[in-house]
Amino acid sequence: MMLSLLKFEWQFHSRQWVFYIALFACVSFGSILMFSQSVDSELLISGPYNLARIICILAFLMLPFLVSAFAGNAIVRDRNAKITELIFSTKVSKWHYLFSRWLGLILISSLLFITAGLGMLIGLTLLDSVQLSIFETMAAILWPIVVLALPGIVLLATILFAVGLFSKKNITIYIAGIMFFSAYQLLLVKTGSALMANPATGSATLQFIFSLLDPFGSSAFFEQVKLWGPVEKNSQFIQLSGILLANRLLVLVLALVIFIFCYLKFSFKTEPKLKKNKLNINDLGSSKLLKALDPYNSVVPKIGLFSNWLAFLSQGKIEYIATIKTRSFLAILLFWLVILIGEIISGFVPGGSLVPTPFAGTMEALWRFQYDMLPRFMSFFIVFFAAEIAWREQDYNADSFIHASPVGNISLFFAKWIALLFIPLTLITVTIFVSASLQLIYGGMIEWPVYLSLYYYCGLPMVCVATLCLFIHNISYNKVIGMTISLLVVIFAISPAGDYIGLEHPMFSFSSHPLLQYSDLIGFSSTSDAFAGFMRFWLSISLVMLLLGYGLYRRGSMVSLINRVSFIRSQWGHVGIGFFLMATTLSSYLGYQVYYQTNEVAHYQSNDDAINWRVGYEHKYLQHQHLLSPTVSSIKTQMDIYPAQRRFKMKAQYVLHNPHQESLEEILVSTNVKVDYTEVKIEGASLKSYDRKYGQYLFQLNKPMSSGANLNMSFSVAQQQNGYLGLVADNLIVPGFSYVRAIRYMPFFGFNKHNQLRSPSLRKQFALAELPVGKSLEQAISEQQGGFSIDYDWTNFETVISTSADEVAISHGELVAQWQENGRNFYHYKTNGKIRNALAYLSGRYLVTNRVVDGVNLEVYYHKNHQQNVEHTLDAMSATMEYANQNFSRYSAKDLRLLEAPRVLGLTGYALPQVMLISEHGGFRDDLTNNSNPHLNTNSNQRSSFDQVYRRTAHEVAHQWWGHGLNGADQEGGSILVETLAKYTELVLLEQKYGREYVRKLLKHEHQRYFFGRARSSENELPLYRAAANHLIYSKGAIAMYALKEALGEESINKALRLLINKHSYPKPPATTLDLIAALKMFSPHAQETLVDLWFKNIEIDDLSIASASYQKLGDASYQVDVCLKIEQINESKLDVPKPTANKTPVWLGVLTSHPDELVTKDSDNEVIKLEQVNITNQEECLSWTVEEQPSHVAIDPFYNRLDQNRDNNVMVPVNALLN
Amino acid sequence: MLTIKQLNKTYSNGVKALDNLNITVEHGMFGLLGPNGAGKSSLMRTLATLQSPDSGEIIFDGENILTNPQAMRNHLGYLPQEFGVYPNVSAFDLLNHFSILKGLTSKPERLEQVNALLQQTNLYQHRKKSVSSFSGGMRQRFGIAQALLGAPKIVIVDEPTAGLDPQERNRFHNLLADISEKTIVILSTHIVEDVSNLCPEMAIMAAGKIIKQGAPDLLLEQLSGCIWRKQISKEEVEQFQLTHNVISQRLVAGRAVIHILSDNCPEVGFEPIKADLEDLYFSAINTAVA
Repeated sequence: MMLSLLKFEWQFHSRQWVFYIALFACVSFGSILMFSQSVDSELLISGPYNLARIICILAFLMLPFLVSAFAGNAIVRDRNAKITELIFSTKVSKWHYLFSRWLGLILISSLLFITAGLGMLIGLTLLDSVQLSIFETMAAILWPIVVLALPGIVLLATILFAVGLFSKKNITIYIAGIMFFSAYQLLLVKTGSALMANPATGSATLQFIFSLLDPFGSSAFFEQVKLWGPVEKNSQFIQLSGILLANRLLVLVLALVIFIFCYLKFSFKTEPKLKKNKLNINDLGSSKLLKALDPYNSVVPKIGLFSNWLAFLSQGKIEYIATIKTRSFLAILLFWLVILIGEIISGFVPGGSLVPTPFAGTMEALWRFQYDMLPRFMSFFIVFFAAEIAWREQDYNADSFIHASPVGNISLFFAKWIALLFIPLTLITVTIFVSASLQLIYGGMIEWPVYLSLYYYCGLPMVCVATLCLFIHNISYNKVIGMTISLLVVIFAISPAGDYIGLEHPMFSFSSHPLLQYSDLIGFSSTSDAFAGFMRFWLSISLVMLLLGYGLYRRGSMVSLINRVSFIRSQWGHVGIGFFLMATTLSSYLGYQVYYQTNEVAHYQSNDDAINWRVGYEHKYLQHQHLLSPTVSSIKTQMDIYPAQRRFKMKAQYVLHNPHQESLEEILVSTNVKVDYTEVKIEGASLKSYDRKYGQYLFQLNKPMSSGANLNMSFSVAQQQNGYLGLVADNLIVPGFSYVRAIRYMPFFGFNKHNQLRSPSLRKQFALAELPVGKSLEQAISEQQGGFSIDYDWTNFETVISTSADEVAISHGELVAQWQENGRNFYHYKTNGKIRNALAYLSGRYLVTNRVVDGVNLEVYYHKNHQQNVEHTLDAMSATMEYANQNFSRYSAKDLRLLEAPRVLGLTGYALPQVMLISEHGGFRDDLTNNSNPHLNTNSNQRSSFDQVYRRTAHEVAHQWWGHGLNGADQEGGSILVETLAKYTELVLLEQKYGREYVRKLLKHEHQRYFFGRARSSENELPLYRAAANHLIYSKGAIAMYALKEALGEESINKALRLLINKHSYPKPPATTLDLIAALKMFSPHAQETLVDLWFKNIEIDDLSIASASYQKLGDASYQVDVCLKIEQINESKLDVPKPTANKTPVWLGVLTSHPDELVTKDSDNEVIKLEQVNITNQEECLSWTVEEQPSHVAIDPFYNRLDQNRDNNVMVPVNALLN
Repeated sequence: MLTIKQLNKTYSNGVKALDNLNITVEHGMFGLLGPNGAGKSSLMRTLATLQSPDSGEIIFDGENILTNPQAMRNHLGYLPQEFGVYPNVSAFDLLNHFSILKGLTSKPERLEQVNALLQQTNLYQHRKKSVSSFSGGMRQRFGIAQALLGAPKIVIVDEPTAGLDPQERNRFHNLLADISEKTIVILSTHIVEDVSNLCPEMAIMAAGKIIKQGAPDLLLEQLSGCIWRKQISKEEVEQFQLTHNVISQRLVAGRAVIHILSDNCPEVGFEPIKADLEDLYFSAINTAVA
């Protein structure tokens, strides 16, 4: 019996439309995902790790929708077909019934998911950059499907099965499916899963719980491979052991429990639905039959505009009640609330171990939901509810009444449209209410105009989506087809799916618009112009669809689409036809506007076009790659910024210099084609050719430019901006803030390497020669015997920059003069020496505060509402300036300016010569009231803040020495000299202000970031002196420098750095990391020299732990502490670096009166009793100390001087030896 | 006045539901009798502008309602064979809503009519309860109530007494008789009794065609003297069916009674009876099938 029931299930499922659609979707999706993999890392696309990772992605993206689609058919189909009485009265047993349906659902979902795996295989074979062995790959795909996906399918299917069984409605299943999908995504983000593009560090406890309960095992999987390098990832399969095994078992057990619950609770008895107000059967009122009744009087109806209007209102009310006042909608609302609240709170209180006090600004709230979550959530629910609303009459079989009545189609259609619009309206209103309430609770300032603008920014696109869905349903044959098409269209519009089939242009994604993000400084204005343009266009198309939907309104049954098309003219009448023509004309016009702004003004290029352009450039100009080029030694510009019009124009005069031995006869000038260059001239040269397509000017010098000679060059350039391609990070001109970074738009000389394709696979595809492999540092040094001076790019700089009357303009150098002319502000800046040619022009509506320190004018430019931390910022700038002046070298300029930048630029901080940008959310808005004096504050909670303002400011100021002072050669390890040294400066400044216990928090954070980055890296780790990856140059570098400071002493480090700067600042030859190492060694005691090598040339990860600890009170109020330690070292470096002589590994050991984490947070009584560096000879060693206070904790390496992969075993509470 | 000319409809599965139909109805009740599958509902739905025919004309009060369906809808009251209702809406509210859809713009007039209809259909004391909780009969009465909203000039009822108990049926018949004085009422049913009680004009429909049309009396007259009745044993039935035109057979107190259509007395033992509508119906169907 069971077998034949199962066979029936298979037949039933496989004969539905949905099955074929799902089959197609699975295979396509599986293969498309393979194409989106980046080919150029050391991680093999066809390696077991990568395939398992893709299976995880496929699982959580597809399975909720897949299983929901079939769950209805598995268990609700009887009720839908009204066949329950027939089935339930047969002799099928509860066991047979439930089990066959449940198993059928699991089998069909599993089968379809396996076809996705098949799609992956197909995708792989089509990728010709990959070599495959078919059987191995099949195994590598099948194994994760069996281990990761199948148990997840069982659990998911069981959950949806239970939902369907007890709710008896399809819509509840779909809602549960969406909730599962959203909740899973949210958990992935909160636990910092590697599946997410930009993982944050997640909460550890949440991570643990999730690893155990994750239906698809992705969390446990990533935990298992955390320490695998690319080699393991390319060959090893995941093991069914440890947490992964526990998780798989738990998932299956949970599914079993739910199924048993279903079995016990379910019964075949179907009671008729008796509502609260059920009728009294006796009360048929037959006795009233013959009494006098009100006579039936006919009432002549008045059909017309007014009756249609009333009908519209009445029908709208019914649609509204039937949609909103339902349990399903309430459930959705609740679910959204839960997600929203969690998101907003985490926006107020960013995670990680550096937690500032909650800052409950409107901007912080908006960034958690406004541009991604809310629109997506609303879109999905509109798709689902559109189906319910459009087919409501048919579903309830009430269509005959309605359609036979004289009500016009216009009332019925628009009633549905309005009802559908209630969904986004309600969701936005609820969101605003919740967000504002949370702000109130957390003590923030509510900005109502911004919230109200959400109806415009988030609501309008939804109007378009709703109209589209309703239109699709009107022309679809049935509900399922309509819903499928709407879902596909919406997914197409909101995802990059279109890119894969060549429909990349934004005008193909219905209702889409460039990313809108909010900034306190500039609001939405970076892209609001484009938003308005796109919305005008989409709304006009929606109008067309409204008219078509109304004209083709499906009334009655079996009125085929073709039939209705022929009636459309009579439906519309003259008015309607007029509207239709107007709407189509309008949308063509608006569409052209969008096209013009996107393609002409913003210079849109499809991906393929961009690639072809680069290939074309290289084919044509590679011949000039060895052409010697002049450098720029002096720049003078007149820059006019027009914020309100979003444009700039500039006139520039360059002085070109020939640094080569040879003389130059030709000069190739490369310009950016996306801005408008005019009048490019070089004195004493004639223009040999101008290539408009590639922006190349080839000049022939009348007389060759001899070695050391100078030549004048002049040009004009202008740009008109708009937001149609989104925000370009270093080129933004809007009222309130403008930032134009020169490097993007200024001329480049010689063959422009930036125009080349970088990806090796693409280069091969276009038959371009392989790019020269980056030389290792040692190779480069031996080749360039004269040092790297030839790569210099330093210049004198002078500018007259103008902006609108309500803004101030900033650039590099001293402010020589400022004046007003023609209602605009003018500023004349001039540097008193050469600066690195990394120039920018800025303007904004700022207030300014300044302070003179060490003869340097320190300025902070800030938004008028953001003044609370300005003084503190100046304190940080002053302290850093004084420290660096004293310990590194004298700051040579007269000014140092710090500007507040809008968050939408996507940077936290950025240092230009003499000018720094710090984002509004990177410090200007932090609440520091609880941080003023960590050692005096007795309230434990308040001490958990961290002073991000001070930290970031110190870091950026430090870059004036490390980056704009010290010259690093453009070779391997060059970034170390910039970022690592800035991190060092940041650490010492923080320690100077707050003490070592405070700095420990930052070190803990960097330590975590290092391991995090290491786990996610697809490359083998390079030793620090050659490193470039962020988790190395920032995090590992920070730990390294601090450890060296502890070992060698701050003064020695500073002496080394001072030497480095003196020897290698411009115009002296630039430094490499080998120079840094040499300098550090010069000032370290002999015994510690190898430590420098160890940190910079070695890759070593330890596992230090305390095996046991005990204490006993000695007679004279002192204590003896006995500790046994264990040391494990993993050495990965390929270089043969000698281990420290005498095999002694120095390690810090501490005895404290509290857990190290509590040093700063609890009472100021917490302290370190003893901290000593001990030399350990063996892997295990025990030692004894005597201390004056009762110890509560013993810790090994408490101050993060080592890279220790497991910190849980570093701290122990010593037991009282006398009690044992 | 309603005129149907040469109406044809074939469904996509090949079934010819309407086969060159021609009907004229002036006023009053018109009964449409026919077996299941005859095409009655298709005709009703076409008249109610919910379906379009393949070819033909329907003129109502001078308007071609196929090109101008609004002309029908403005004056139509329709009770379909099967229908559902919105859940969680009370009888009063839903009836009120339908009256709005029908164009009753004046609130007092609307309320008066809604209340009157609720009383007429004996739903008044249940008016605040949700229609989706009604029993089958109550729901049917609700359908009747909404069909009478406004001032319909033509009322189309499709199998209206299905699910009603005898009392309800009677009351419904009375109601229809009342309104048919000024309106056209097209009553489609397979219950012969309903037609015989109510309709001064009728048609018999089978397999998409009208096989008999006219006033019942006149049609019956055609059969006068041609219906014969005999009581026989069950085993003899088959033999009689082969030799005579047996139009109906039934069991009375355990014995088979057959009616035969014949111009003269077919045999000894047959007695002539006065033809009733049922005989007319069966004879017509049989002839059509033959």
